[in-house]
Amino acid sequence: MFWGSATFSKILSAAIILLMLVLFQSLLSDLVTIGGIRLDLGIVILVYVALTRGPTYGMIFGFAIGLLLDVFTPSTLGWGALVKCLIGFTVGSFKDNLYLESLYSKGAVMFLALIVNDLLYYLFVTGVTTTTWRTLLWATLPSAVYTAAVGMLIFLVMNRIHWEKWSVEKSSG
Amino acid sequence: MDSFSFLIHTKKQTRVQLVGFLAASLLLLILPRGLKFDISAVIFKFTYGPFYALSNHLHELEGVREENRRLHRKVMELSIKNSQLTEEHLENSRLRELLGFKSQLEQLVIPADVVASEPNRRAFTVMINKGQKDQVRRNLPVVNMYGLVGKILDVSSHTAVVQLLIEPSFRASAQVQRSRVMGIIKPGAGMTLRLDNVPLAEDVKEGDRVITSGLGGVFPPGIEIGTVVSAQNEEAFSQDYQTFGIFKMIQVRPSVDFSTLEELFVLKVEPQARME
Repeated sequence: MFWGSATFSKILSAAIILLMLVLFQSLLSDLVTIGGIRLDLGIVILVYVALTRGPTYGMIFGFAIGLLLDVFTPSTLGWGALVKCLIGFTVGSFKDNLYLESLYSKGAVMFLALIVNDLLYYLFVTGVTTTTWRTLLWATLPSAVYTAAVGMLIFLVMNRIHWEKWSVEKSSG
Repeated sequence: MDSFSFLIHTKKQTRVQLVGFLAASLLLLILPRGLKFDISAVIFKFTYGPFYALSNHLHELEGVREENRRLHRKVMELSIKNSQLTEEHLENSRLRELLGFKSQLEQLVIPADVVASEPNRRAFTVMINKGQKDQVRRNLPVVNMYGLVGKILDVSSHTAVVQLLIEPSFRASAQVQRSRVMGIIKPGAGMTLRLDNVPLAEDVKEGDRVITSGLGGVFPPGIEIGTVVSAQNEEAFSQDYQTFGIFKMIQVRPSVDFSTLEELFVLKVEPQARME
């Protein structure tokens, strides 16, 4: 039966994660913005999925998250999906090649992913201008630091949940 | 080359999937503008739509009493101002008639609500609930009660995207209200603006109001943009501004708070004014 299958369970999990992103962007995004510095939950989710599930999930989530965010700038529809798909795939591919047990490493990956994401966006939309670099410096950089910090906290919580779940399963099994 | 060895070691199936997703993204990119808008509108409607509707409803309920009180006060102020302006308008009309001018602009205002703002840190655009069906079209100016917000970037049948003043590629012809000095308004660092191309010798002071000049044909003259917060001549800053000591470095604080945009007005500007 499809409804009880592992595939259905995976699709459902993915849908719930994406729904959380939509909910956050619609209702909570402004509440966690500090002095104009925004949290990019899309990057946090993307890096988390890519690092825990690998390149295939990374690119699927990258495409989906990118597309969900592209709807706010319809004239560049597809660019965000392309960039995030590549980021998800790359981060997922490095999952086994890099030592990423440390929380700081994961934070660094989120920081870099966000910088690359914005850099490619600006290069595509506005080209290389003084304003581009200025915006990267004043908007992207603080946001990357903020997102990496919050992302590390989310990773910590998720790791703890996984560890507790694993402990319960081990003791009962 | 070792850094990219993961590409070789990745499963063939994964590589094929990657190519598929990249092709899908590129396909979306090259779609006609109108189709992109329609696809975005459908995705928006079935994902963000219900949440934004809920959020807007809650905001409306929350702020209604305070807004009412504030608006009452504003109405009082405006009615006083209006009577003064009516007098000045009559006088202006008489003088224009004497000078042989025709009315410069016939403005119709299209009220619109912000239905979505770009949720990334690149909060440079907002979506409004008025589109082609309401006679909104590209490049029309958008204002709110505090001043210039931006201009229409893209239009679909029922919605439109507004390019905010702080968007990196935004440019508008502007002037200092007091001294009538002209310049070009551009986005600056963070949420600030810059008034560029103002020669060093020109008279610009801190606290001066900056308004649209009307040159360029997109924005009507006299719309408030912001207030000068610093006007410097120091050459130390020239390199950064790429002015090479010819122009002033003028920083402008926008009148509009771009993080709290709710009700906007699209100006349906019909430039009719020509000197006879």
